Amino acid sequence: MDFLNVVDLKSGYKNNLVLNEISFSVKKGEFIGIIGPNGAGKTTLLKTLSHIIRPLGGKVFLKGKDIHLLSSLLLARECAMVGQDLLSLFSFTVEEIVLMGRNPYLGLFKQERKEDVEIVNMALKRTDMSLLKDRPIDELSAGERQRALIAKALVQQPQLLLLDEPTAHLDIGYQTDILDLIRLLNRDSELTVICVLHDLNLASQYCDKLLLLDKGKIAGFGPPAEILQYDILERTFNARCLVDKDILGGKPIVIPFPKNA
Amino acid sequence: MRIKPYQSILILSFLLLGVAFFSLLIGSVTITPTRLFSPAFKGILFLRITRIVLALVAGAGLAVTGAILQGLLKNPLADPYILGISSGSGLGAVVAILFGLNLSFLGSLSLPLFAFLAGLATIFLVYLLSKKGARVGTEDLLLSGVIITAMLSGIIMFIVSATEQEGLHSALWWLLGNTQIYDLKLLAVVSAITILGVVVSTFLARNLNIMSLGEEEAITMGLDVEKVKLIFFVISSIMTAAIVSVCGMIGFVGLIIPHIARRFIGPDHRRLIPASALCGGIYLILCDILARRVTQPIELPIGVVTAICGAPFFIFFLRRSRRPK
Repeated sequence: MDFLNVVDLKSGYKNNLVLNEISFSVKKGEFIGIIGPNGAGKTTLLKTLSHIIRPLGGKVFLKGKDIHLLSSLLLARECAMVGQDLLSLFSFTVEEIVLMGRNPYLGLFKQERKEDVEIVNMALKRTDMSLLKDRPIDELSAGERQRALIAKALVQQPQLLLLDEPTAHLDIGYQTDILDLIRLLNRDSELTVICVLHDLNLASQYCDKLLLLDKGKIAGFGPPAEILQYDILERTFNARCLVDKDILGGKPIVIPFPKNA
Repeated sequence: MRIKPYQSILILSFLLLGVAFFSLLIGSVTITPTRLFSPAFKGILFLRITRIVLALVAGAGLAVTGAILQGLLKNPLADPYILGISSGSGLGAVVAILFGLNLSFLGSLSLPLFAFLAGLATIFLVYLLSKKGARVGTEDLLLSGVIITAMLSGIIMFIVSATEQEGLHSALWWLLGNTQIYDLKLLAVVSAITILGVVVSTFLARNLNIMSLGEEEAITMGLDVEKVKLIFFVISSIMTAAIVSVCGMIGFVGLIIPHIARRFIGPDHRRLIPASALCGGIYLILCDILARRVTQPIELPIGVVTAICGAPFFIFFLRRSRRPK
């Protein structure tokens, strides 16, 4: 039995089917990258996997259980999500925000106990945020805030971590910093990762497999070397590019190329 | 110096007691503390106590509702009236006053009861208008609230402008807010509703923290957002309708006090709600003192005072630094 099984998933908004006939499966501990052009349905797929959007058809099984029959509370114990950024209206401290991640174990009525604070401290240590825990979240840099959000996801103690372009607003240093952290978590604790990435080179370097979405359908699913080929990229992204291999790990590298050159 | 949250609550509580005591002494007649218990002032003292209690309860309830709705709707401009309760209750009260609706078996309670029910009916309408399937969109709530408020305010204006009866003054007076109360049972009911509302929402406040991060974020953190919205919607509607039906429209308290309290004590709603209750009580008791004193012997409607004093006060606080460090 696969860890995550997506069967003929249809999803979208009123009168607008964004995803159609999506079927794929993921093994425990895999690091999956979702790539594809703008509007291909990458974010919609993550939102459907995390209960934000109800599917219009098909099923998603996580460890054999249909996630849309679970309550959001129970799903949040198995699956956590990190978005592009958190724009909080109020200036909560990092520690306050991360502590909120314990919600799936508290429900409507309980307050946090001592062990919740311990779990939070561990997550802050793992994400290297202990020193910043009393800082207001809106005063952090985008990269630091992303680490705090990962810590918040970790205290949910999930087995599946969904990330929606976690490196979107970051410079190259923070991009690798965040993805290194995610890979470390992925390798060390068998955390299965599904991560939407715009940057094909980051996707190539970090992911075990890439899921290429195009116009709401799967256009390819396999190891980076299989997906990142110039003809496939030209077809789906409508872009000319050169694909080479990096000299260290032999992973594909994609170089955009002017169409009118 | 760093002030701990419980210290802030303690300081605010003492401040509240002090302000309440001060308010006991001044008014059209000034009572010195030593003569507080002399029999000559018994009647005045009783009136002042009921006024102070009502000002405290109304200030606390409005401020807490403002704090709840700002967090729930993720909107710093939300206040207890934004969803249309005040205009609904206002219309109910104006109709009751001007058309002399008086259910004899209810006596003096018929006006507040009518206003209360009209307020709840309005908020229910707003809720239905923003419901799409099983979900209630927060933007839809705000929009329908603002639209319904505009429409009902228009009807109130129409009724008031078309009236030449003697009831006009009391209708206007009611709309501008007041803290006079003659019925102790009514005072007890409003106080009980407010205390219950403040306690329950403090107890459930952790959910508001999560809600304030945004609905999608909250769903992925396992929050049952529709249930949380409904619970806090019901709590804040009942509190606001109860207060408005007795005090009329006392504006601005519910908007500014949560912002000021947040500056004292941070954004965590578990502390923010009690702190807002205390700050709201203090503020409204102070405004009530001004309403009684400033234009003696005429008394000002308290809604006028809260708005005129509130704006500069708010600007002063907003311009100061953010959180205590």
